[in-house]
Amino acid sequence: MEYSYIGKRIKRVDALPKVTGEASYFSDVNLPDTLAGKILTSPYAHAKILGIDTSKAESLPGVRAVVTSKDMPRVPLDFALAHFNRRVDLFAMASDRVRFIGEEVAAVAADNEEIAEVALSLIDVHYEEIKAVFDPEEAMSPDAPVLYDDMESNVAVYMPGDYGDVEKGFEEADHIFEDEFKTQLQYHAPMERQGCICKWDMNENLTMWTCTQTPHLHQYMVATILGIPIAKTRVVSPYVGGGFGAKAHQAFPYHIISAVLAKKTGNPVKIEYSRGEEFSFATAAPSFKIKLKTGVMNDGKIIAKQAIVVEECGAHCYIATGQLLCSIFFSFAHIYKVPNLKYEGMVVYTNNPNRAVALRGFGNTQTNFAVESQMDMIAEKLGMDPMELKSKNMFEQGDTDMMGWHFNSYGLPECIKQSAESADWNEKRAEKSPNRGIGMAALIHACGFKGSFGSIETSSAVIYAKQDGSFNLFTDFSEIGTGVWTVVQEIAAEVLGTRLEDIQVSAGDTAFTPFDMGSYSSRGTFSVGNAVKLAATDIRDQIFEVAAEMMEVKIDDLESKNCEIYAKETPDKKISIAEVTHHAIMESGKILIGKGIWNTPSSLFDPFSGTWSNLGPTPSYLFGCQVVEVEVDPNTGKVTVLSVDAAHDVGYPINLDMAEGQIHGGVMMGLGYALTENLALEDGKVLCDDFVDYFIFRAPDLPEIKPILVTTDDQYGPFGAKGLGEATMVPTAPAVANAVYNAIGVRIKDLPITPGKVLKALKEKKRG
Amino acid sequence: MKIELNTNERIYEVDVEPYESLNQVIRHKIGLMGTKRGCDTGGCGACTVLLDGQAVYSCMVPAARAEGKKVTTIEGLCNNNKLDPIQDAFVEKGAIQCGYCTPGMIMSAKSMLSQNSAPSEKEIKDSIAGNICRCTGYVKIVDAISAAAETIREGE
Repeated sequence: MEYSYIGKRIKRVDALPKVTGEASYFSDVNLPDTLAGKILTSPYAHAKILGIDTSKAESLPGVRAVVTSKDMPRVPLDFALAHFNRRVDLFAMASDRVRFIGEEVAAVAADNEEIAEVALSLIDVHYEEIKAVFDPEEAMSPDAPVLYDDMESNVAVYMPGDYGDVEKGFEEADHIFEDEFKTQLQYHAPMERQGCICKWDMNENLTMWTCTQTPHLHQYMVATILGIPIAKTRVVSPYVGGGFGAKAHQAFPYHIISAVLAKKTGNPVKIEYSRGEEFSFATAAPSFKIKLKTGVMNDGKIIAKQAIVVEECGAHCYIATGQLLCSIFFSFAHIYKVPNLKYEGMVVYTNNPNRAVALRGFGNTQTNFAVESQMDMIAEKLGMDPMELKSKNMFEQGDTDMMGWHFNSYGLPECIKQSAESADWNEKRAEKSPNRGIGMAALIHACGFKGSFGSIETSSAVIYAKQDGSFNLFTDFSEIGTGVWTVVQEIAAEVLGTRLEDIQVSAGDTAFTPFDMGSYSSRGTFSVGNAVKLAATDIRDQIFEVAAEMMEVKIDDLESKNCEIYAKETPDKKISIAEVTHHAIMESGKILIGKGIWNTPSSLFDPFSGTWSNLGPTPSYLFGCQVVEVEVDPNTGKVTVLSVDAAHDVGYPINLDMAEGQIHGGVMMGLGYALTENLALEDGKVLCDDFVDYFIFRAPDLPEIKPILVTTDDQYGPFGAKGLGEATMVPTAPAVANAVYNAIGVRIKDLPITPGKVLKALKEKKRG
Repeated sequence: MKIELNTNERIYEVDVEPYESLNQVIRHKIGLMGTKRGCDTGGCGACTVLLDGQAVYSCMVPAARAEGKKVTTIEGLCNNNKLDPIQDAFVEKGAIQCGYCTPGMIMSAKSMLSQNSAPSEKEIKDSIAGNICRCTGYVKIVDAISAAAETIREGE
């Protein structure tokens, strides 16, 4: 099918505002009389709060309000997150106990940031320190201090599952592999720091300018927590300076604190984390420990697989249940066809900072590191090429597995083949240069995981026609960088047969956009793309109805292209879209409004049967394979990445530049995760609080990244398209680990792969 | 103290505190919000502006030190709605995602290209080593700067 815009290199709609500095992010909003809000956080990992004296701070000139937990609503902030097995434990401020360094205790609003800082130092909090626990395994021991009085242990979530007969599988297996893998805390590091500005008007309407990936979910949560009507709560968040999960599903404490301070003072209040605060306690992906046991036959068939997955969530469970689900069901349970499976998943509290916030990959990245590293070990033991081992255990297109996941499109074999070819896999594996190595890892992921937030997976869009044949398109989606505004513009213009510039996209403001779940879980192109396609089709049909009357032809006979409507049978009969919309609106009073509501045809996990009733958590799964080549310096242990060939099944690409851009960025985040990024902790305190100590890849450090887009024409995707963003970083770390092994014969099972770990492993290898 | 700041060829008289950074003054006293504020510690490059043509972290420069120098921000690159070749190349090459690093990235490239319009790939990468981008993996940014260099050379 030849499209006008789909599958092309189309310039982004947000490009011009961004290169000129015109794009306004929340912190660029400059309201008169805005006060600076600052939050006092706990210096202790675990302590009782015996009392708080705010009088000195209150009497400081320039201080307009001081608040503590007494001023905060007592509604939990995480009330809406998971659809089952959820624990609700997060409030806007700690009242009688703090559970990590960085927990919110009090806050001030003052004339400027400097006064606010001084005021914080004048708040006297009387703490009594209690025993803290920082290691998840220690936290599970019987004598560990328990973080919550209503619980008997620190295990916040326990999720077991059993399919087939794992014990019998292990008995029958020719080889058993047992390994333990560890992953670190990774900081999202969006270039825009978290924050918001809250303003109440005289009619008690709250407007909140913030950076959220999910404006309508945010509106719902903020209003519910504050106990005000949702319709009187306006969330404005069009441009967001990077999200990666850090800005999804929130309300975070600072949002509520800012709203309360603004209410109390009658002024707008702005809270913006410093970069140090961001590093120290704002957001990070939780760390995992994964014990993996796999039984394999001599021919490479995997017969049984067992995992114990321990996710450390810090002091708040937040969205950990969803991450646990994803960590188990993608890489452990579904990347390969395994007849016998057993798992135990746990979310464990500790007194470490950083709540279990979503991060690109959402648990899948962590387990993928374990599973794909072990696959490499299995292949070596069996004397098999990793590609061959993967092929032996793959599903096929059209398969429905024992848990109910159905693969309507299945690009995994093609991704493996194309990434290997692009990287000269066979040649490089056959003729190895010293200290150089090549490794691969594959993945499965979802676009829109039903159950990762509440129990819905829904998008909607509204489109209005104007008298001149231009259109206003409304969606909830903030532009966090993924290019979703351009995607929906392309889709609407393609359906309507207009020029791109005829579609004006407005988004990221709950005052005029319809409900959507927002930007996460690689759902943008797929879910809002589908909603926009439905809305555009709806309004096109209305336009055709008017056109058919005007042209005196049958409606079924009509087509539109280049801003004109043609009759297929009599091609010389044509009329412009503008003539039709003008006639409809100005002469017939027919207002043309299209709407599209997309409810993804997928189902929720049933924890009792351990299955999904329809298609699985998404109708359309993402697949990919990355091949990484490295060079390791045996004297320093430094790993240098030479190239990454990343093939991803995108269904059908909507925009080539943007799809490639997702892969470039995801691979870079994945390389950081593999080699350098670690939010190191000591006794519950983050040791790195700036970009010097926390190393993110910079331009000179990057290898050649070759994106390969594999097309599978998904039956549910708009124009066959699936999502992409999250998948792009999932297999990078195991591909690096496998390449390091191929280079120097040492296996690092705990991320990141630092020079120190490599040297230690080399020493141990020498010792034998 | 009162200082005169020549910003984008226009003189602004501003009252600044000795501890105020050029970044704070550009954003909140002059009101030009295109220059971002990413870390306040010279670690990310989102706040990069030109001081007499040289790229600097505006968060690390006290505003008072900029008096008597020419400050150029991202808003100063686009004249009469005509984009600078670097801006144009960023649009054409799809070198933008969230956009938060973009103004700083463009200013760093501007500083380098004004001294060297035929940079090697390594020189391009080195010129933006002080600017973190978390979204793009830098690939299309490097492409864009390379394309801008070509346009500039053609115009020379």
